[in-house]
Amino acid sequence: MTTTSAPDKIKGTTRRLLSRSPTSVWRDPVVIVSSSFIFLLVCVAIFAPLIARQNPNTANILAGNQSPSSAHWLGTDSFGEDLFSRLVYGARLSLLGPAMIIVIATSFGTVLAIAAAWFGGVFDQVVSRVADILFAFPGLILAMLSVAMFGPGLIAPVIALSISYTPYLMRVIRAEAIRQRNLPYIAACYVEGLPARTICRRHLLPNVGPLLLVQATLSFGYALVDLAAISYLGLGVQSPTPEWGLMVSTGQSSILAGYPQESLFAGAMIVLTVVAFNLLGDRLASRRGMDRV
Amino acid sequence: MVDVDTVLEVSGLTMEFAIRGDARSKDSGDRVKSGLLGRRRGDVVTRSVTAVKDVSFTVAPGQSLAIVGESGSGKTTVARMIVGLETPTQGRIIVAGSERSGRRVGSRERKRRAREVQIVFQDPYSSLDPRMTIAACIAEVLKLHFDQTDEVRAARIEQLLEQVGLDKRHENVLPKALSGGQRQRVAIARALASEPRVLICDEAVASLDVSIQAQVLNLLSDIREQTGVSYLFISHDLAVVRQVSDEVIVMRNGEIVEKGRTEDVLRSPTTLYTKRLLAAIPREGWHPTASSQDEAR
Amino acid sequence: MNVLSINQLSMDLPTASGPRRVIHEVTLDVGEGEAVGLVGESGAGKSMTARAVIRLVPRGARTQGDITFNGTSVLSMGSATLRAYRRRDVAMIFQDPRAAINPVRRIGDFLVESLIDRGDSEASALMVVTEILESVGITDVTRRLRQYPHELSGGLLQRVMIAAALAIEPKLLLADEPTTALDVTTQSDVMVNLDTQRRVRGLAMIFVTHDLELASAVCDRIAVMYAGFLVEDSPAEGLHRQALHPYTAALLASRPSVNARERRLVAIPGRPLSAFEVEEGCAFASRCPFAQERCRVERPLLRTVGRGRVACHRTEELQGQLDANKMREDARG
Repeated sequence: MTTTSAPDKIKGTTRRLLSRSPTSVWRDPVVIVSSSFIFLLVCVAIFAPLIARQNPNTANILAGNQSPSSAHWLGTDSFGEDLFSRLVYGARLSLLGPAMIIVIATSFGTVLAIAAAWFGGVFDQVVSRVADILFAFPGLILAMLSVAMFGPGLIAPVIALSISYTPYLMRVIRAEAIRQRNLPYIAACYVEGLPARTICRRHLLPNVGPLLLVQATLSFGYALVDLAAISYLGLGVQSPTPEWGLMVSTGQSSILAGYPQESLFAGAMIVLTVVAFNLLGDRLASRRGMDRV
Repeated sequence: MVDVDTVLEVSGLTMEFAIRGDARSKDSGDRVKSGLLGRRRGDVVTRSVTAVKDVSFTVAPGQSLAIVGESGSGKTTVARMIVGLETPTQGRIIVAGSERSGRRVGSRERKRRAREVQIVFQDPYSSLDPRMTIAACIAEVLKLHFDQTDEVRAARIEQLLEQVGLDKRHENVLPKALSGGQRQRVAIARALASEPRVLICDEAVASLDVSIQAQVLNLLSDIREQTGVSYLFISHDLAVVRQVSDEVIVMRNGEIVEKGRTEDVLRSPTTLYTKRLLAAIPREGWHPTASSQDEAR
Repeated sequence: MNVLSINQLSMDLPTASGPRRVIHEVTLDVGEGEAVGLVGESGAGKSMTARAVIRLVPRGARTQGDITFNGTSVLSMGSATLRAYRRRDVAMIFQDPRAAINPVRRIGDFLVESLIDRGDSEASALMVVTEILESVGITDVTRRLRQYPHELSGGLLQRVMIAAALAIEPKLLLADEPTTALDVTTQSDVMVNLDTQRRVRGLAMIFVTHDLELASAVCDRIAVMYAGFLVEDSPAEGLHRQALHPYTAALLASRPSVNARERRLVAIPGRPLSAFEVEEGCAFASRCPFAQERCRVERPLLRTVGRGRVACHRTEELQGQLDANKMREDARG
């Protein structure tokens, strides 16, 4: 007589999709789909001139707000610029901005985290309190201040958001770094006479690596939305440069006129990209949880 | 002057630290002062805890000394102080004639000390870097201490692994591919790589299966015979202590309660505590008996 | 009638590389008031077997065979019957008391909960609980009842867990390495209480442990498991002098003795296998000093020999040699 411990009402593939099944990460269908999408997006951004057939900045007022057609695959915006081309070129800045934020925040965050975890004491206290204060500042406000000081564009908000994201990443990595530091293998390195920086670089850093990757992936989505919000508010990239957040904003007035395509497609791109990053990060995270030493 | 009869000498070793605790928690003792309003839950009080009190002993070259005790006895703290992971409040530690001061030392001095005393920890599952292969792990130690060509180093790695009962095919695997016993052997090989005078085994076999424990204990005896290294064996298990040590120190609540040659202490213990420890060990014909302590601990 | 009857129990657990066998056709009976020690090393399947009795197995585990409690099949119980079974008939004591108790509730609340559940009044539950706590050696009970788990030491907390198990007046106790995490003197104290109370109340018990000596001291019978198989099931007395299975004898012989130092310990070569690593033939053959060709190809079945059962082809031939004490002496040379 065969019994299973819990009634398995969900069958086969669906169960695999929904479950955090312990197969290799590359076989996880969610991981495959989301990372493929991201890879595709990156290719589109890099090879934009080859993919977008039309100049995204060629305006033609007479051809404004057209529906998707063979001439304009996704239609045109209110200035008659081809939407498809604008989305494709928009991918560049829309992905570059968050990428820069994540790279900067992760780098600073990791260095501070590992130093705080290793030295402890006053240094750790100071770093943690400064991080707490920064953490309390809403990122958008900081970005607006930054734009007020340095003018609109991509750089000012990117710097501000990098500063804003560093504390969170630092705290998360610090917690894991402390946990690793307290394990016997680090003590063994210490007793073996390895210099502190070598231990941190060669042992501590690689072992917080997986967590770092997961956090970076998950934060990417937030960074993208934050940056898009800045552009939406008109404080980031300026017209006519194609950028998704900005396109949602400029397409706003057209919605009321009955032409939602600009805002809709741009918004959809933002949503799809963020979802892809979140799903990927989520799956990587649960796999980390199952990874046994 | 270097005393050739002792490779490790510890005298008056003491470790005290202040802990803060809730005035009403189980840890608060009578030494806590009351504030103006008396002690209430939530008051944070600082009191000092003595983890190790005035411990002294010596280990001769090639000798094996065991420190035996239950949890809270301070035996692991003693080991950690000798190896530099904790700083003693008082006392001296002299290894191979050179004194180890209480202050934290720079990496050069730490590196020099690594050739004097090494340690094998209890948990085989977290004492190896999970991202390094076995060979890389041992190579790291060799590279740090010895100026060798790659070939010489590779040969030495193989030799060390063989000495602990592993072979070439274990070299390029990650720790997760090895069993607990195998990992512990790697930890021993790594500790021996820097050619220390004293090897501290901190409950090194406590987490191993019985049949593997026997293998590793045999291995440790062999190694001592082959290399002349001295052991400081920390354990709660008197049977293991009997097997592996010449001399024994029994610790309780941070203090030494009895010491002497292992066979003497275990055959005719002089203190009540040691007798109780012996009486509590399951063996043929044994039945559990309540200890003389009335209050359940 | 036997309180518990495990019949040809097999279990597979789901893993990344497909289902893996952890228990192979284990057959074991526990009589009323009888204490059976379930002994083995890592991967033996002893803990999983005990958990199967209370159906505390991981998600996706597939079991075959049957477990009957007083005639009722445990594996095919519906959820209501299962709850009643767990609430009233069987109690489990786990290795780590801190993981098994809710840290934000007081000891007293935790202890009376199951009694109130079954209908007792709060007053009578409190009386029962107080009496049981005293019987397991806890003094100053009133104070203890108001404390939280973190305020008690490991030994004390484990006694509380034992009290909780006894309070529901089960017919069967499942103890999964209950003293492994305790100091040896605390272990001795706790075992005295557990043993006495068990006998006084006439409870049957399955005592899972890796410590064969401890099991022999408190159990009537010892069931030895290796790599998911039950290899021996004998009375505890006399196990040192005459084991039925080479593994049991070797296990006893490989333990260092506090009375004398061996020149070399009798060490079983290799490492304990997990159930899924066993192919054909006897699971222990690769490590057995007495293994022959037949052992490597033909799996020995559990059979009755004298007062016990054993899964070994050569038990009768090896009569005199499966004496742990003798094995030690031989090694001493």
